[in-house]
Amino acid sequence: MQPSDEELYRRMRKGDQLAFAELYTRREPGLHRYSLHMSGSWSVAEEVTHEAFLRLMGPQAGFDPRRGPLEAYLYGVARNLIRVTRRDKSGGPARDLPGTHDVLGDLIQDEMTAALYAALRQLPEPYRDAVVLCDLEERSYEDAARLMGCAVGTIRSRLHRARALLAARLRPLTASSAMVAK
Amino acid sequence: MMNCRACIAQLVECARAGLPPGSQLQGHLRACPPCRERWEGELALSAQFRKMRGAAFARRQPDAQRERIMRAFEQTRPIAFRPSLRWVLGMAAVLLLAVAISQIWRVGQHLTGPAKNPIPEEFTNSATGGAADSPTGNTTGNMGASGPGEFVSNNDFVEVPYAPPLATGEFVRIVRTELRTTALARMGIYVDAAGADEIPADVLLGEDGFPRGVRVLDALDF
Repeated sequence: MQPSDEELYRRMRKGDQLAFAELYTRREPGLHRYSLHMSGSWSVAEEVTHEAFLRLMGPQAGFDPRRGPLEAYLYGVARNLIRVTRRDKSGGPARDLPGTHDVLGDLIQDEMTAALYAALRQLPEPYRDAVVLCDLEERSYEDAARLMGCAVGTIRSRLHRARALLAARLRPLTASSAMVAK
Repeated sequence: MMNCRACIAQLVECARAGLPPGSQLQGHLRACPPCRERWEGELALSAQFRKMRGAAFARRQPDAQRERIMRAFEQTRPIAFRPSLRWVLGMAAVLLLAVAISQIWRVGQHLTGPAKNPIPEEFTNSATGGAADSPTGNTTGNMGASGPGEFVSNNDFVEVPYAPPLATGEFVRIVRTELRTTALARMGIYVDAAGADEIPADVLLGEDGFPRGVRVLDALDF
């Protein structure tokens, strides 16, 4: 049976490097993707993920198992760090996103992706969280609700509303993409 | 007939799951252009999300990041240990304090606490000593500059014959007790006790615990 995140954390705090390594292997990929989708920037995602784990191992780590799971704590730290980063950089479009192979397709694809990231960044944070966790991280509604600390119904309604807003923002680009395809 | 609200709730879930709409939903979409437009938007959104998910998985350099964080863990490990180190130091301080208190208590007991009657059982009738200058029955003092023999004679003590002499400056102790006349006789001190088996007396003890002198007391003094 695998040790829980909280057990690994307890061992990690006692200096157990293997426990930390296991916790990192388990939670870093998801946290990195979450940070990437929330910020729209690879470099921000890497820094935020690194900083979240640094805070976890630091002497002032504020994690308390009675207040929620460790994963929710990590996502909370990442969310706050991204918020600070956004405030500092006042959120320009993401410039370091991956491209594809076809040149024209790349242009449109990059434009689509950049537009979607821009639209995501303009969403209210609870809506953006719902989209990132449920659609980009493919978490279940229950999982997302646990990480966000709210009801399942709340997550579902936020997601539906967010998708409607995003679809409306993407509509002009989708139309031009369809024209290029023809 | 399905209404738009129910239609949108279903079409969002269909688009997310990548499933084709059911026959009822298809019927509504054919008849309702706004819902059809929404359906197309949802499909495009889901397709875009799939690409973003793939890209997020594809472009990573996790090993470099991992090495970096592991180095940081190595460096911060002593910091992580600091609370427990503080705890250990605290415990050590408490332990030291406890040892110091016990030492003080022991010294206090030695100076003021009830002492065992130093007179051998064979000389006394009971183990309990009476009071001399202090309620505990013991008095400790230094002979000062006066010689040992002088100290004994100046204080009405009868020297115990054959006892090793007191050294100059030696600490002595006076214990008030009841001595058996037979024991006094064995010590070479003959007392007319008018038939009594034991008599009250002060016994002068050297630092080694041996009696050096005896001062017989009246019954009223005792």
